[in-house]
Amino acid sequence: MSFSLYDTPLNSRLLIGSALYPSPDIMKKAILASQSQVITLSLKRQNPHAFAKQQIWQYIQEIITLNRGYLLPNTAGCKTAKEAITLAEMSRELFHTDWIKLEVIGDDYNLQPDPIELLIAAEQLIKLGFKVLPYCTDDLVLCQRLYDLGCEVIMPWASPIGTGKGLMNPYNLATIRSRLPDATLILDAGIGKPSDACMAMEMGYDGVLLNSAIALADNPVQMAQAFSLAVSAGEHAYLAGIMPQRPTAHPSTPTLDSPFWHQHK
Amino acid sequence: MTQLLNVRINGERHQFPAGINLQDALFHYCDTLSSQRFAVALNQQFTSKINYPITVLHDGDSIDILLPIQGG
Repeated sequence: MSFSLYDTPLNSRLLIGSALYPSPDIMKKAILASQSQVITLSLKRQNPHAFAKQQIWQYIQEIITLNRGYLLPNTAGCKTAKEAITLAEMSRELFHTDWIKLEVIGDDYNLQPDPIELLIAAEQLIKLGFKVLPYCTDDLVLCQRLYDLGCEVIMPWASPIGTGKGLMNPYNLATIRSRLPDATLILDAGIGKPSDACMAMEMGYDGVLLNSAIALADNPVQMAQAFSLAVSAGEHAYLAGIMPQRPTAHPSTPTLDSPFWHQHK
Repeated sequence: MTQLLNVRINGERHQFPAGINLQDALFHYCDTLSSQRFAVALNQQFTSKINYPITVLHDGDSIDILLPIQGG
C-alpha cells in the first residue's frame, strides 16, 4: 500500500536513525539493509577544523544517493521552543529540506517531550513553512492539538528514547490511531525488537522510526533486515484484517463425526 | 590604532578588527569552511548565508558554527 510523508512517496514505512552504530561502514550497510528511505540526523556545534576529517557526513550522503532517500533533521537536545526553532532554521539551510523532526525535551532522564514548548515550536515552525514531524508522548490530547495546528505527521513514543522497552501503553497508542484516522502516525522511540514494530503496524500505524534497536544489536545489519520484514509483516497483517479476539475457545477441528471415544454418553 | 573586537566562536575567544563582517570572520577562523556544510547562529539567532557579508560583528558577539552529526 502506498505510503508518503507530506506528499513525498516512499517505498518503506521504516524510518531509521544514523547514530550509535559501531562504525560508519556498519551504519551504511545497516541502513541500506533496512531499505529505509528516511534517515534522521542532527546538527551540533563542532570544530570545523576537525570535521574535515570526519567521514560520517560523506557516508550519509552516499546512503541517500544509493537508496534515493531523504534526510530528516532533528532538533535533539533542544529544551525550549526558541532553541528548536533556531536549530530547525539552521537545519533547513544546511540540509536543504523543509522536513524537521521536532524534539523539545522536558526531562533530562527520560527525555520526555515538553508538550507546551512542543506546541509553541510546532505552531511557529509551520508558519515558517516547515513540514513538522513532532516527537510526542502517547497523549491523545497533545496529538490532537498537534494535528489541529497542521502537523500532518505525528510521532508518539512507544517508550522513552533508547530504552528498548517497546510499546508501554498499547491502549493509548490504539486510541490515538482510532481518534486521528487522517493523521500519518509514526511510532517513534523506545522500540526494542522487530515484534514491537510489527505490533505498531498491526494497530494501523503508518510507520515506525527507530535507531538504537538496530544500531545496538549484536548484528545491526541482520537486525535491520529483521525490522524491514517486521514492518512489512505488520502492514500486511493490518490490511489482511486480524481476527477478533474471542472470550471462549472455538475448536479449529470440526467436532462433527468425532470418533466414538470423544462422544458424551 | 585598529580597534579589536572580542568575539567568541564555538565558545573560544577570538579577536578581529572592528568593522569585520561575519563572512570574513568565519573564513579567517577556518579557511576550509567553504568546502563544508555548516550553519551559523549569531548570538543564538540563526543567520542565513546570504546575510554573512552584510552582518557586521560587534564586540562581545557569539558565533556558533554547527555541522552535521549522526542522530536518531
